[in-house]
Amino acid sequence: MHLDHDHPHTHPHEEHAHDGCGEHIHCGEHINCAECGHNSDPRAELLALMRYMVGHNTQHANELAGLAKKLDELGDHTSYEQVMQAVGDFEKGNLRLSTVLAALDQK
Amino acid sequence: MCLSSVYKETVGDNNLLLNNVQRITCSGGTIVLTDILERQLTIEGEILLVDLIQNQVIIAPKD
Repeated sequence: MHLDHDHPHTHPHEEHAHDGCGEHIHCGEHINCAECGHNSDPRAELLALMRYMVGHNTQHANELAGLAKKLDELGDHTSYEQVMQAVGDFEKGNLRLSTVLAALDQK
Repeated sequence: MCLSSVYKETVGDNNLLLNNVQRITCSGGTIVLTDILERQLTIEGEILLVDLIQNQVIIAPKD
């Protein structure tokens, strides 16, 4: 197993030996080795995860809206409205998250 | 739709290969895992299981 990189190692291999794997995982100096806990930029990872979550939540909201529409097509308009309310609440929460993310991006 | 955790042989903290994996490519016995920060881990082996509900993938590395 190896992490792909195109620059020379600056550290001995022993630093990144993984007993559970039986092989070395090589970490280049510009690559974070998150899987062995050596994440040199945890904030960047948190922001990336939040960014992913905001986008992913939007996908889920759209899917839920699609489900709601199918409920309506099946004749259950009451459930459609309730699910759409839930979608609205979901989007409000996601908007709050995206606001936080925008503020964090500027810091 | 969600990020996954990739494990070697079985699910467990000691077997975690890579977390927050967004993409897995397979070609000729070579598996490339890419995480949320575009970090990549290349493994020779095969995928044993992909659980899309639990967001877990199990790989058997080639010995």
